[in-house]
Amino acid sequence: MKKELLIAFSVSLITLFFTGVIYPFLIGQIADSLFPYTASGSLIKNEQGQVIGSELLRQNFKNPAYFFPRPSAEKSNLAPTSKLLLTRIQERIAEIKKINTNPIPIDLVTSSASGLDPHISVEAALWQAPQIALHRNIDLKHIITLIERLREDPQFYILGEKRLNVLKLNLALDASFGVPVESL
Amino acid sequence: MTFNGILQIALLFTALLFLIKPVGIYLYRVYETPSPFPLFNRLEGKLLSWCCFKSEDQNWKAYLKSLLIFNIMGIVILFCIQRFQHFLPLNPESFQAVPWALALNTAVSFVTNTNWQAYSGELTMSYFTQMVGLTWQNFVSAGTGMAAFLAFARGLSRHASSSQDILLGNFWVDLLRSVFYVFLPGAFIMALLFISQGVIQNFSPTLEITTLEGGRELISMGPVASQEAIKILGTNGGGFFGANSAHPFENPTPFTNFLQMLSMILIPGALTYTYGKMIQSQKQGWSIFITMVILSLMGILVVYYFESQPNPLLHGLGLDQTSGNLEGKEVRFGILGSALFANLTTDTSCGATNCLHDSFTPLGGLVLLLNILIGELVFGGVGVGLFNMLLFILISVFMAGLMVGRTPEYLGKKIEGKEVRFAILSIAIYPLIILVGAAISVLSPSALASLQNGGPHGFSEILYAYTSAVHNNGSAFGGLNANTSWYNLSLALAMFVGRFFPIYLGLSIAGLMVNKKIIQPNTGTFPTQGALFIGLLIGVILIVGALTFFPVLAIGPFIEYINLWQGRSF
Repeated sequence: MKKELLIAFSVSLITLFFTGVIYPFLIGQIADSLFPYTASGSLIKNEQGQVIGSELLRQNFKNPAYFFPRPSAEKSNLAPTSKLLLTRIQERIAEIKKINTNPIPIDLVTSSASGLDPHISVEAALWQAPQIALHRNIDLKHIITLIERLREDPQFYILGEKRLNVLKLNLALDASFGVPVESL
Repeated sequence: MTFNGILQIALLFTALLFLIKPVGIYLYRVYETPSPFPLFNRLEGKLLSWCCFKSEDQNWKAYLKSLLIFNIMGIVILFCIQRFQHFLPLNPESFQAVPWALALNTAVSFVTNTNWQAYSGELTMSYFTQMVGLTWQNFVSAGTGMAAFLAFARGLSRHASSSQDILLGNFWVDLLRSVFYVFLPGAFIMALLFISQGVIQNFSPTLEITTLEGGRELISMGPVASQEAIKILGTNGGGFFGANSAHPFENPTPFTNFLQMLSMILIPGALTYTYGKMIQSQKQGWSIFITMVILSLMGILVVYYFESQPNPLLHGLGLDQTSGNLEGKEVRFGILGSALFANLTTDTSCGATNCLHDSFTPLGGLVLLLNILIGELVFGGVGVGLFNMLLFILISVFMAGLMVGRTPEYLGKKIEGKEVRFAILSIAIYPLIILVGAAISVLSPSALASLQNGGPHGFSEILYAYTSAVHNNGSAFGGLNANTSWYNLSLALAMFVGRFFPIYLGLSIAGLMVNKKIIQPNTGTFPTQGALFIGLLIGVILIVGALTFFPVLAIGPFIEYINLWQGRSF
């Protein structure tokens, strides 16, 4: 028994050292030299060099001259039969339905699994486009061209869905048409 | 359901099919040859002498003893790391010690390969705890699963040439080879692929940023990729972040999603080929694999169909629901990428999630529950999945024997009363724990206070928790707040018993089977390969595994489904 305990302890130490210390640090070292951008969070910086976000993470947009992302719910994990979910979706509809009279794409009123979904569907972007054009005082077709340019297609033509990254879309808006005046 | 969706399913299974044979052969070489890689012979010898043991073969009792001692010691070490994390390095957020009930739950959870998480990693665990504690157990708990399978399979396949006791291999050798020859190289490649796609790997503290609009937001950091790779490859499933594989830093692109799904089923699938080599009958190995694929595809198509449907309660609100039930799902994966992942994570004992199972449609959620309830033998966890499948094969052969009225045999060995009793017992322990645990929780007001959703779905949340724990899955209907003393302790017990009791029974069956004489097959022998056998096995799995739970499933998901269509909410 004493011998078994000693073996168990030394096997624990050796595996712990290799898998818990050497392996993560080694991966970290290699990542630093091969993929420094992604390994540190795919961070986007502005002209002053300050980090303004990660291209992988959702951020809030309230200004009507920007595209807005999917809602970030305080309570997630709601069932399809949940009263709370229905109320939340109805409130959300009431909040945004004035933007466009067409049916609202479902992703704009439902929250994602992570609460950090950086994307919206192509339909959701097109649905928001008239409001952006109005608030930036530019022709709708410029916005639609921009959406088509930034659309991310399924990876390798097959994996995943067509989608748009909200932060990248808004950065492109600013680059093409200037930073909007604060008009909240 | 879309054409592209079906194409993605086909692509995944084609990729799996091509990898089964090379990986299966590799695994056979690692475990079943005295020195798999001559190059590493001396290193292996050194390693063994550091660990103070000789690689002598063990009988089932010695093998089981080593396995249990190692795992219980793992629980103690992991518990201590969490309790003392505030004294340890790599704690940039200065997290305090993890509360003892949660620490115990987490320790048992990671050692049993369950990775049930009653906490959010980014708010509770230091980088040290995540790396040295949790990542380490991700590796060795997967190795333990492989070892359990190997001992069981050797018990069935090896046979006596003399009256000498036939042995089952050495636990420590099997464990170390799993870690060093299988999981470390695999995780290494996978981690780098993940990082190239956007999974993070750094040791920076949480970053506070000013957004484009001037708001303030926090970005959690950490050594994620190294844990992510083994989380999936070892069918562990415990996320670095609370959002698990839905978090864009854990699973940033559809390609990482594909890789995660593939590596979840890769080793469990390839083991069927390894097993075929061990018993010198590749046909039997393929028969098991085909059984798994059929059961898996059945579930996938049902879940995919139901998740693609609009929610009837949202009709008439001016919504465009053509893309289906997107509540709790990420846009980049879509319905298919979420439904497929959810299926495979419950087919295997992985339990990683890239969507919220709690927000699935009633019948979509039902299939996920059922995948776990039938025993996670559709691919299953690394090692233990095929282990569970072999138990069901013994029962199927026994039933076929009853039907034709002769003593059943498997691989030329007679299956007698004792083996069947043990096999049935290892399957009966699950309903016992699930139903008793759920019943007590439903009767206790404080346990009910943990529910997020009301009505039949609330019951499903509790049912899912005990099912996930006892079968060592680790996914959840996450609305349930499981971080209470009752759930932390009762689920820890469920995880422990659900892991080690079947291993104990399986190894005792191995001990009984290994010394049996070989009988030559004759016309009355029931073939354990081919279409007839596959049909029988699927039938037994569905009847024995699923029918037991029909009443509770009726109370939960079925009633919810009826209510949904009657327009009732809770």
